[in-house]
Amino acid sequence: MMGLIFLAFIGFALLLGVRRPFLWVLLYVYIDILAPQRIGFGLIESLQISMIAFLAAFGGYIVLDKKEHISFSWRQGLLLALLGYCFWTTGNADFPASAETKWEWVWKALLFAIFLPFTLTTRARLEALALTLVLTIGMIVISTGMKVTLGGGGYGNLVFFVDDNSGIYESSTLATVAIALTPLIWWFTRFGTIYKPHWTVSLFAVALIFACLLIPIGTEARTGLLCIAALGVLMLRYTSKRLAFIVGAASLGLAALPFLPQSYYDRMATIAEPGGDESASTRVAVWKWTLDYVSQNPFGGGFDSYKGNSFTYEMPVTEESGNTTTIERRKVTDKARAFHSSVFEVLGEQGWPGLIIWLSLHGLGLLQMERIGARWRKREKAGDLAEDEAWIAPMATALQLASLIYLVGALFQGIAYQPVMLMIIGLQIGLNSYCQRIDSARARQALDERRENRPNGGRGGAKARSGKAASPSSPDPSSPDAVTA
Amino acid sequence: MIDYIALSIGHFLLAIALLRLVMRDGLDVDPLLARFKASEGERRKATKAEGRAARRRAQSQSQTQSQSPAKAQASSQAPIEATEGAAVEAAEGAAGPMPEERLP
Repeated sequence: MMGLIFLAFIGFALLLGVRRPFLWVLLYVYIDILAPQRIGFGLIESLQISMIAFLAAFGGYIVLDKKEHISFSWRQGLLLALLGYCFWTTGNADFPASAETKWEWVWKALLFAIFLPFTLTTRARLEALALTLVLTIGMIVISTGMKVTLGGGGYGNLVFFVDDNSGIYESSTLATVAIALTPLIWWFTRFGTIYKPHWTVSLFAVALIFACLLIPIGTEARTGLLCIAALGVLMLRYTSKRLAFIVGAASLGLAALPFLPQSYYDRMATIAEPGGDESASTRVAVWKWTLDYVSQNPFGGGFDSYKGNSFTYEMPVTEESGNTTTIERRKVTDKARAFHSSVFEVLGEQGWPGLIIWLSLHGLGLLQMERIGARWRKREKAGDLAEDEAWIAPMATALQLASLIYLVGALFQGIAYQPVMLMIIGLQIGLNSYCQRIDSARARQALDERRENRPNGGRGGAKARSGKAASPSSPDPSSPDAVTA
Repeated sequence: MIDYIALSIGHFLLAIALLRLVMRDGLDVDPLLARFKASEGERRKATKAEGRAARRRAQSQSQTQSQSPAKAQASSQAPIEATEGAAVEAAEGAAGPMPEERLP
């Protein structure tokens, strides 16, 4: 039954896309994140719906969509470089079969992130993509939030739509992405045009943000708690009443404490004592191993190169016999432990060149969003802002916060090629290109106005060109007018 | 049950969003950028018209100065506006479109 409902929705979106091919891009985003073919049963399992949507998105754009204002940005170039470099390292991987498996989804995610900005030519499209991201992840978040509220949860106990601990359905990844999207969810309460600001929209947004904050609690993902802390600190920058915000957040946190289970306290306590937990202990050991590995293999070992690691470390083992609890430090030998950090994941797999590309990609994004936010806020203060430009700075801020929270989470988990975050990068590039087009239109407008405001109406340049004696008011040769002429 | 509720809410909202997007004019052409483009077009039209008027004035002045004294004497009886208009028409007919027509 569920499979048929998914198929009906996909058919509906495919049908609407005949009139507006951009909707097929949104359909692919929805399928790639939610993976309905893995949730439903029956026909939907056998159909290659992801491939159909992928081809529809690309084909629809190439054949049917308008291709105005196409520009290829530096960040798309970096994504392309990363894609090419990953292809090369996959061919020279330490573990070819394993690398091939990872390459099969990484190349699609990278290619889609490169493609996405070409389609994001209007405000409606930028908003539509953001809304699709929010609502699709929202489905997973709402379900998880309800389960946590009704008493479910616990580390490794929470059951998602897909129970294979991969992609967005991995607890720490979901926690990071959910927290990263909270500023974007709030953006819709003020600037949404598909769902216009209304108390029902605000109510839904508040409930969804609450559910997002419940994900790290329900999954007991330590990274999620760090992401919430990062969100709180980052929000201080954009809050006018900082003291009230700190007091409010602290009060809320304290009020929530009695409702948290003991298992949550126990798990969070390991953040400060990494030696007390195997998952945390191995991280440090894997990171050291990765540094040693790249000192010998500076160009990386291809996807899943961590499978070559092996190390011995000490960790406390608790044993209970009757009323006696003994803690003994034992040597543990571990093999093929995952990187547990995106930075080390990229470093170990793609070497220094890959890490430089990956860091540049995110660093440039943060700078671009900062610049857009600052510029449009400045225009707003100067009163030089059209009514339908007010959304730009807040969206840039929301996307910048999403990136920062993702980067905090990515420090402790291997999500360097997480498709949702690559889509957020695509959204950032799309917003930047859109703002560049507004900037250039404004620049042309200012240039024309300067021409019109000249005493002789800006025609001095024409006189000079026609060989007549230039009037005293003829333009300065270095002026933009002279350059344009 | 919880999963069904969550999926239903999400799909319902997505379906409505898709329907609204299909019916929306601004999905393929951005209204703000279209407005910039339209005002730019209008400004260019106005600039071209101004340019043509200025050029006519300049050419009629130069033609008046280059006319022979006798002709100038004769024509001085006629209204200046009529002379300018004829000169401009003659110049436009001979020279075709003005160079400024090609300006961006």
